[in-house]
Amino acid sequence: MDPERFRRVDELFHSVLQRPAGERSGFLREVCGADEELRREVESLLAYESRAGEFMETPAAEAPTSLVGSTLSHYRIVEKLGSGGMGVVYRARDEHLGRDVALKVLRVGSPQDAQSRKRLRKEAVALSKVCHPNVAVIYDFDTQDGIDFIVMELIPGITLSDKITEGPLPEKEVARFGLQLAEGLAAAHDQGVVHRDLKPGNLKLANDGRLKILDFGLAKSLRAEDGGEALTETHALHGTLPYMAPEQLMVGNVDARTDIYASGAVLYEMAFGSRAFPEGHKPHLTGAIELPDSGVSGELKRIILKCLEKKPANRYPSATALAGDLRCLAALSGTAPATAQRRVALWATGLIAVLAVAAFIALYPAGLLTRSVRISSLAVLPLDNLSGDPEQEYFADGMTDALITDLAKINALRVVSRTSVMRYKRTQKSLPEIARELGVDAIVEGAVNRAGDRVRITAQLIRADDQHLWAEAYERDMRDVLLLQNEVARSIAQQVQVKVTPAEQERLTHSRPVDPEVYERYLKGRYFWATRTEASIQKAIEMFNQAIDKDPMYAAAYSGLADCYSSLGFSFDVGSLSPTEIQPRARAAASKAAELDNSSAEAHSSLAFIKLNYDWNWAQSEQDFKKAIELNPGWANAHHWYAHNLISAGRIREAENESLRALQLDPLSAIMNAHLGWAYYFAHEYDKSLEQLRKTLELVPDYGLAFWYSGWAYEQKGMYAEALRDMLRAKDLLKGNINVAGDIGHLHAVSGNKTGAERVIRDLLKLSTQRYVNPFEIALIYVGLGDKDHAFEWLERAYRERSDMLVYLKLDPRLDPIRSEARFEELLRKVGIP
Amino acid sequence: MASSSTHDITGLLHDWGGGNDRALARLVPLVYAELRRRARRYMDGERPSHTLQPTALVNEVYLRLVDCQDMGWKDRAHFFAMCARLMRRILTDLARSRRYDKRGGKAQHVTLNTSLIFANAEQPDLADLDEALKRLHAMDSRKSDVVELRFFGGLSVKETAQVLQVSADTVMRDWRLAKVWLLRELSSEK
Repeated sequence: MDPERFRRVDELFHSVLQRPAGERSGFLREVCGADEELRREVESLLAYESRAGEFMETPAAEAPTSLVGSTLSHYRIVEKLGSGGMGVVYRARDEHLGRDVALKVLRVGSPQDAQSRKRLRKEAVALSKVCHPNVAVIYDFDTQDGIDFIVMELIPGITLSDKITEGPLPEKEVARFGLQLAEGLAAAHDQGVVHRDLKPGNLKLANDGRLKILDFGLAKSLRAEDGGEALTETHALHGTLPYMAPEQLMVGNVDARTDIYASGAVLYEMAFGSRAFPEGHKPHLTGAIELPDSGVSGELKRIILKCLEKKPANRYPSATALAGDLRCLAALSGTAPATAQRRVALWATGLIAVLAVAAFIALYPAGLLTRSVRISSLAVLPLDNLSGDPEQEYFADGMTDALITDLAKINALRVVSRTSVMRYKRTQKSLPEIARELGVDAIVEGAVNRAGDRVRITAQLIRADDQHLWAEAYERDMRDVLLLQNEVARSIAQQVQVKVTPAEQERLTHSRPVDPEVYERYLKGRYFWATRTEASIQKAIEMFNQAIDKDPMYAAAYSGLADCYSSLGFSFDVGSLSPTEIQPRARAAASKAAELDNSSAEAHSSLAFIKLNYDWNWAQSEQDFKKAIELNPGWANAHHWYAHNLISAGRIREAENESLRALQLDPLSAIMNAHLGWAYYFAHEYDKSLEQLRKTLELVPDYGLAFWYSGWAYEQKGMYAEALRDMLRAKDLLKGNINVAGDIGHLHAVSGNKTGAERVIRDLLKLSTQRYVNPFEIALIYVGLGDKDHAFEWLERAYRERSDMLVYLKLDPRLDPIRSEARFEELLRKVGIP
Repeated sequence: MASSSTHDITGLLHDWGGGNDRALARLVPLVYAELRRRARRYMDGERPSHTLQPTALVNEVYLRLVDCQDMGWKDRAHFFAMCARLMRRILTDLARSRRYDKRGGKAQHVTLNTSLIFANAEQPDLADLDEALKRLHAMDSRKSDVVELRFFGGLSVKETAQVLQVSADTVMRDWRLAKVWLLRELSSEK
């Protein structure tokens, strides 16, 4: 049609539509006059107008190519199983009865055709009355949002058609499956239901070895409206022509014997591995059927030919009669070992299927697959820096961190810490892979673009299976950047539908504005602190001090500073400074943090740590840890350090829970991983400890703390060589850590190297004139040497100097040889371990 | 990471807006690669289901590739129009390759199948739609543009009107007829 003419059609189409329905046809006739073609064209378009409704209204990319994830009536669609001429078949969950079903969405030519739907329903009703083990049960037939669907028994297994692609079946199998087919047909025919579209693709071989007939009558009732010719066309295109009886093709008259014919074609295919009538080959034009000369018995050939008789009257009169002959054949061919083998194989396939389903259910709890998702854990991937300025990288990272911090304040949500997500900066990994590695339900990713005073954030929420859930772009003035973060965090919380308590809401909306530069320093400080080496902690202190210089009111920076001092003094981290040197500084910084912002989780956690390790006040320390966790359940460090409190008090199970929580929050952090190994050591679970430390080292290959702790565990297992190897490695990696040296001395002592142990004592004593040496370490070596008096002498000194190691007296297995001493009891009492 | 090409792309968009078609020729592969990379994440045929908001996708690509400061609305409109066209290409190619795979490498007898599928509020076969759109374009290019922007680009009526610089009413009228015409074109019984 030329453009001019099309414009005319366009005009007319719209003018007609403006008129009341009753006047349209008259109007059109009038304007078109003698131009019949024009009138027909417009009328034809108008005829489609009513159907166009939702057509193309959903953008191409947005339309799911399948219904997976949606719910029809009370069936939640789980996965696509396949598609065929009749429609697409899905595995669905019947939410009422709690079982899996097969749901077939029908492709209906014209949904407006109430007649065809009625017929379909009638067939479904009739078929639902057929109750036979070889017929797939129909459960339901319904329509929703213009989608017609049939719900039926879910039969795990393969189709006969799949089976035949492997080659011809042994005769006994042909007989066995043929018999089941005939019996199923007989039951349906008794109810007056004819299949009409029998073919290997419609026959399912269930995992229990049973054959099930699918799609009874339905295909035909759908297509009957098309009339005989269209039917032929359609079938030809769907490749089912070779199974159709001549009378079905020519007159469209069908009865039970039509199915007998098709059964013959199916038997033929099972026996010979190829179609009785190749595609395009019209059976009604063919004369006698010639069967290939192969190992097929004369009896089976006779049965096949009788089914395939051109005249219905010459075929088996009923499926029951066919079943009779096939039963005899089955009896003749007997059972062979091959059958048994196949049974085992089928059973195994069944088992795998069951396991797969179980795994599937375990992975996808109810509700997760519907559009309204429930997500209880997520990771925020490093936001891309789109400003094109590498200097802005820290700003983007800062925004990432702020988002994590905000989201982590929501108790119902587990949010992976920044140290774990930062690893995925510029990663090539796919989102599902990342989600799996971090063990989260969903991922937030996005980008930040800062240009002058404007900042723009785009964020999107993607489920672990890569389903895109939400995307949004925000643009604000730089001064409002904190509000912007909160807004993004709240939107995400809303999207994942977690419960945000009013208190959390309050915390989300009340963040103090922080200068991005200050924030950047703070983040760098936390990063350096996390690695726990003396040099990196010194760098961290520098960063926090710079942050404080710029913003003396910034509580979190003081908390960071406090934690650095604590770690420098803490024997399990660095332990290079004595408690008396460290404690006042750590305490001052932590108190300042709490004073500036009493709602800071970081501040409470810093204080709690000091109260435990220097004040030896378990109760107050616990109170502060609990407060920190309440304020920000996502602050991994609070859980991590709270575990120290619990372990030292002998509350092993609780400690394990906190350690695991810390690790979940920060799954890729070296310290959180090593800490869990540390905790298992104190729980006397040395194998678990070693396993965890091995994992840690896989993650961070040269992590000194992990080697150190695994040295302890090997020592307890009596594997002294391995213990020494790991401790020496730790000594190398943790340069200047005196406690490792002391522990090596103890290892020498228990492994019988008395000279070595004594040399370590001498070295430590010499060193102690230059720097702080924890008296506990010397005591420990004496314990190893069996010199109890010296051991207690040094423990007493450790007590006077308030060595933090005394906090962990209760469970350290290295002290077992002196545990029964009254002096030890006295020490425990003095330290005040609960 | 996008810094060096950001300026190129912004410049190319300007040039294209100024009538330089060679700029477009250089622009398309850059945007196409980015769109395709991002779209594939969602569209990977192996995933059980995928919904993708094209506007969000285009926005993402836009943010990534274009230096927003230098851009006027007109260039942005151009960019969206280009993205819609590229989305059409990406999705159509995808539909074609799926169809090809499904038929074991032989792309044949498909038309009847599609005619059976829809008219049921479902989506058209994208490969067939692409062909039909070409025919529509020959008769009325604006209508095919409207379809491209709305259906492939995911733009609203208002946004489409802005890109094409016509009224929203005109877009609605074009859309209505184009839909009906395509529906008929893609049904077997025409």
